[in-house]
Order: sequence, then C-alpha cells, then structure tokens
Amino acid sequence: MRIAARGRALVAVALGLSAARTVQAQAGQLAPAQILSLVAAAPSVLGVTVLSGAAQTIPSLTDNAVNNFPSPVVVRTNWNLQPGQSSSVELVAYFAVPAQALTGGSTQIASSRVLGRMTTGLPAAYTAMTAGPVAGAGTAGGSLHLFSQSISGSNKVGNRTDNLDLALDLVGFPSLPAGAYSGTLTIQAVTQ
Amino acid sequence: MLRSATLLAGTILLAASPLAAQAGLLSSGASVSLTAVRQSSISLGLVEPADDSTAAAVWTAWNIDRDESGPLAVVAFVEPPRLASARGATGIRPIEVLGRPPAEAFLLFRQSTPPDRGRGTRTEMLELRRGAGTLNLMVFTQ
Repeated sequence: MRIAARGRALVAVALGLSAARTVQAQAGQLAPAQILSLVAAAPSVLGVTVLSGAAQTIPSLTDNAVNNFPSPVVVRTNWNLQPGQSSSVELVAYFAVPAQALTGGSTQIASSRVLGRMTTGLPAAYTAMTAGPVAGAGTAGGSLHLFSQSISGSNKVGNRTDNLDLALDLVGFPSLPAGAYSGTLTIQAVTQ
Repeated sequence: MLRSATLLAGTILLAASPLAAQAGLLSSGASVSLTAVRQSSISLGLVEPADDSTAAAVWTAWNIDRDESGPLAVVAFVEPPRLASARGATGIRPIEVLGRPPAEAFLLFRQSTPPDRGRGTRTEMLELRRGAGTLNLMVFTQ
C-alpha cells in the first residue's frame, strides 16, 4: 500500500517535469509572424425611389395633340460611393420595348411619342424617349438621359430629388380607337 | 515564401473587388405606370337639302370602346310631337325600345359595332315631309 502510494507520487512528479519541459521548449521557439492584410469595403449604395406620381393617368386623350400627364413623377436618387471609383451618377428613364411603350388592343404607341422633361436635369424641354442606354442602363431607341450628377469627395454620400414631367405626343398620329392604353416606364441610376 | 505570395495575391484581389463593383453600378429600377384613355365619342350631323328636295343626308361618326358599348342607334323626333309631320314618311319605322329619346321618336337606323368596326361613319338619306315643328336627331349607344 505504501509502495503503491509512492509509485503514484513518482508518476505524478514525472508528469510534472515532462510538462515543465514542454513549456520551456515552447517558450524558446517562435513561429514566423504571419501578416494578414484585412480590407473591409463597405458596399456602395445606389438607389432610385419614386416619391410620388408612380401611377400616371390621362383620363381623356385628345387626338392630334400633345397630351400632358397631369402630375410630375417625383424621383429621389440616393448614393453612397467612393469618389475615386465613380465619377458620376446617371439617371435614365426607358421603356423595355420602345415600339410598344403603351399598348391597347392591337394599337401600339412607340416611345418616340412619349416625351419627358426634367427641368433640373438634362432634358430641360420635352424630349422624345428615343435615345440609347447610358453606361448599360436603358434600351436602344427607348431611353431618355435625365441627369448626370458629378461625384467628388464632398458629395460621395448624397441624394437629390427631381421632377419628371411626362406627355404623350399624338400630333400626326392616327386617331386612336377608344379605349385604355397602358405601359411601364422604368427609371434607373448607374454610375460611371 | 509561397504562403506570403498567396497572402499578397489575396490582398490584391480583395482590394480590387470594390473597384469592379462600382464601375457601372446599377440601381434597381423604379417603375412608373402609365395609362391614357381615349374616351368613346359619337357625333351626328344633318345636311339639309339645298333646294326643294325633301331628302336630307344624316351622317354619324363613332369611335367606341368595343369592350364597353353595344350597337349605335340614330333616332329622329319632332317637337312639338303633335306636329310630327315626318311620321309615316318614307323608311321611318316606329321605335321599339329606346329609353332616353321621347316616345315619339323614330328609329332611323341601328348600327352594329363589331370588333373591326369600333370606329366608322355612316350616312343615310332621310326623306322629309315639310311641316311645322323642329326635327331633332339623336345618336346613342345601346
């Protein structure tokens, strides 16, 4: 019994020494330093919101005349960008299928008959939506470039609100059959 | 050495990815719904005879939303009714069901507006017997 107890004590001491040697060995050897470069980039933000006027209606069209939509589309554009990587924000309005901007029955009204004006932007006067895309935003022959906002350090985070006025130009257009004509205009922002 | 090169390459790729994301960054598209309505319209006219002829041309033009309207009816009536000297003149039939015009009105013609006839015109000659009173013409959809 006493021998057995002494044996356990010896074993315990031996383990303690062994552990101590390991600690001493580790304290004297350093692994090469590993340098990790961490780059945390906040995602850029670019958004377009229609604050009002998302549903535009002309209740009674007049043939052979320019028919204004009654209220403007109020568009808010917001961004949070890195100025060294984006020099401007462009806003574009477009129809997905320019030949069928508005349709009703078998009658199609092309985007060339839809006029847009943004007095705080590029088309200060009513302009047909027949331009091409801007930096990949828009469709060929069915777009209108609304504004180009320069981005610098002072306004890398910002927003602006603009009014888009719309009209339907039926001058010279064949008399429309009675009925409703509908379509969807898309407004999109893109950086350059 | 190899591990350091790998880390360096990883660092370059991480730094480059924001550049690629911002070039041509597109927002989501905001939609604007456009609706324009061409209201239905019908019109009517009478070309009175220039001489002693008793024939007058009655014309009507229509542009009707075919989804909402039925056939057209053109009627005539004389005021005051007791002077309705046109009654019984050639080709005028008593009206069956009209509603809005006076009961003394006569149906001149009814025009159907099938899908390919949402718009159109029609002219008919109306024989009149001279007399007192005012001849009124009316067109409406049924």
